[in-house]
Amino acid sequence: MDNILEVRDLVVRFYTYEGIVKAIEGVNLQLREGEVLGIIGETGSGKSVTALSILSLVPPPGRVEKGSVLFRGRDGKFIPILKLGRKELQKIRGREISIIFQEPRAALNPLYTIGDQVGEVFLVHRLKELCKDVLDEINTELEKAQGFKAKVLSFERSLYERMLRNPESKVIKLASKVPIVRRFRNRLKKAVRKHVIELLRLMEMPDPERIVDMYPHELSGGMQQRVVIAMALACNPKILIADEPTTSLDVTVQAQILDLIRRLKGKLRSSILYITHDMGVIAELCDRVAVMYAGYICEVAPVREVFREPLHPYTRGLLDSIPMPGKELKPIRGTVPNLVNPPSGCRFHPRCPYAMDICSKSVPKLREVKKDHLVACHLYDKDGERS
Amino acid sequence: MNALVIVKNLKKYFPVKGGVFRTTIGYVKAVDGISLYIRRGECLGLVGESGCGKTTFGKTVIRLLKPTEGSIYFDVPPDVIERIEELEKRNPKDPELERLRKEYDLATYKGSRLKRLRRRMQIVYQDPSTSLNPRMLVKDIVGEPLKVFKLVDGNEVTERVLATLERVGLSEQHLYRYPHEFSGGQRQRIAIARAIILQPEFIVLDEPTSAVDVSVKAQLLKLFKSLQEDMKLTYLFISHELNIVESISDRVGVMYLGRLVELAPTRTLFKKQLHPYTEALFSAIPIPDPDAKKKRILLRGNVPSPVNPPSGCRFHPRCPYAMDICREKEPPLEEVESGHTVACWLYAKR
Repeated sequence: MDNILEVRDLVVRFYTYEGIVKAIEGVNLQLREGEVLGIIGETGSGKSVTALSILSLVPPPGRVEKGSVLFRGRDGKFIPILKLGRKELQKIRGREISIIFQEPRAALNPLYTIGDQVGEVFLVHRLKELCKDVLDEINTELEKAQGFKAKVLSFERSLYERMLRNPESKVIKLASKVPIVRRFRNRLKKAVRKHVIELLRLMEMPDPERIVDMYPHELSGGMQQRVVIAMALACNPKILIADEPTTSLDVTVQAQILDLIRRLKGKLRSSILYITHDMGVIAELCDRVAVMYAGYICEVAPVREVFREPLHPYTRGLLDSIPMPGKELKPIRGTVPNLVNPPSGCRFHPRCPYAMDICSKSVPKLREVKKDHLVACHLYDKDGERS
Repeated sequence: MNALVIVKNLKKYFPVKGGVFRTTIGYVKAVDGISLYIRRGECLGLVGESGCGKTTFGKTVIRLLKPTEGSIYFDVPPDVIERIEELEKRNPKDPELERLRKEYDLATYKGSRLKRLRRRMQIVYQDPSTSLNPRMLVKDIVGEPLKVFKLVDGNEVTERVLATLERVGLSEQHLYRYPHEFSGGQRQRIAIARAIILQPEFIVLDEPTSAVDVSVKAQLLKLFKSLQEDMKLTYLFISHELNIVESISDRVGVMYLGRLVELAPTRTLFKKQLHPYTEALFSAIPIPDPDAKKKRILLRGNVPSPVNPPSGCRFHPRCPYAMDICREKEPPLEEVESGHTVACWLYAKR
């Protein structure tokens, strides 16, 4: 399988009053075509920041200091996302790579109807296709029309042809404001609405014709999250980033959403980067898992291996912290370190039961220990390779 | 049976105001007729989705909220309970019953009697960042209950606070700090210290682990268990995380829309769920094992509004086994096997 996304040596820092927060220190990650890659970690491990950097969305005072994010476009060439300008980014965000955030309430604008918000994606990214559809419709009507109606129709056709050539044309902008004339947009609105309803139906929402005209507050949390997923999938993106999409939902609703994502994955053939702190979700949904701790990736492996033979002490600790019947609970001692003054060397060493001298001195590199199983820990250094 | 807390037909309605004159136009039936008992020294888990009334139930039991109807008995001798039950059956308007109610029923308590009771029952809230006053030092937060009840002299307060902090895994260096200087797990420890400093008998734990990380969750669970052993505490553990409830509770109750639908010993319930809702709820939990094969029951639709709950069994619009009787009559909570009670027409003797 080919990589569709590569994150190389990413370093992200936040410049706050308390000091420089070293949120991400040299993260390397590969997302393969068609797979679901899970990122698991505790609060502050840098999983969300990684997701945001992929779309070049790191908010100030955060800054990407080093590293690159390479996305393989439709022509097979790798595009360096972090070097793109605003307009080029706009073409990738939402169209090639889209993101679902944790809190659907915050992701939706309370002042617009569901139809308007989901429709915006179509208007921004798929305007040309919409124009073509509308033109076809006008042409068929023109064949039958006569007299004044024919004149109106041909005027509309000229406007839509112009829109197809240049969506930002000044004439279109003006025509959209003049009363009566602006009615030409109704056809576009209708076309968008049709697409939105189709999409909502794909999300298995009941009664989509009614829901398009509703406002976000009228929907439950699970339904809101479905709307956000609909927006993310409107353009059949190559990559879907899901940043804890079910954390704020109830378990029964979470089960519905996970089921939906699993079925959509088969239908749309997107790659999914799934961020969560729930080991159960990882086990159910993902093909491979990356475990993050304090800004580093400490282990990457196929999902079965992570659960059967976790190599990194932190991964083991995480698995032992899950309460299970008939198993003794072994919590990891201590707490997640402060990233303004992170521990030297391996950032896990103050909490690690196997810590050695070398652990506090040098940062372990992520290396392949077994086939497809990468781990960053000095326990697995080959002798002689120690630096 | 040595019950510490006995709850009978507890109801808590919140009025919904509306219209021009802000008149009451309806009630949110947050808790609608729950009866259960909690044994001395046990941990009763209470699970359910958000909005099912589990937090309201917890708050009402320790009288932070005044119940709309029903009675709560806390540490009442068994013969008194028997007498009350007998009188209730015979004549609900008996003057002796009223006298006994006034004496023992928490629902009727007011003022200083209620305050005296507070010493014996405490609560730990879900989110420690909002349940701790940001302007108070840790020593004042944890020591406040002592001052309120004037239990110890001024200079002894710090000593007691320190001993309690050490019991929950904090130390002397944490005394003169503010809550914002702590991590989520530590803050929750402060909240726990505040709850146990009066050496209560009964603690309501209202989702105490849902705001913290996985590794901290395990630490807190261990702390709860050791505190329970050392101080002979009785817990009401409210949570929506089933695996956590499983590891700490002796018995588990399942709530749906203000009603108790099933209650059973933890082992029994996790082996076999009888109520269709419990079954669906348990099947929805993701299992941290990639090879685990299981049948998942997906529920249709959403939880209905507690202002206008469905007629009959409240679960019937979403229930895959709904029958005619479910729409008409509410199922009684009946014991099906020993200790395993369920409210469902599938199992009820008609």
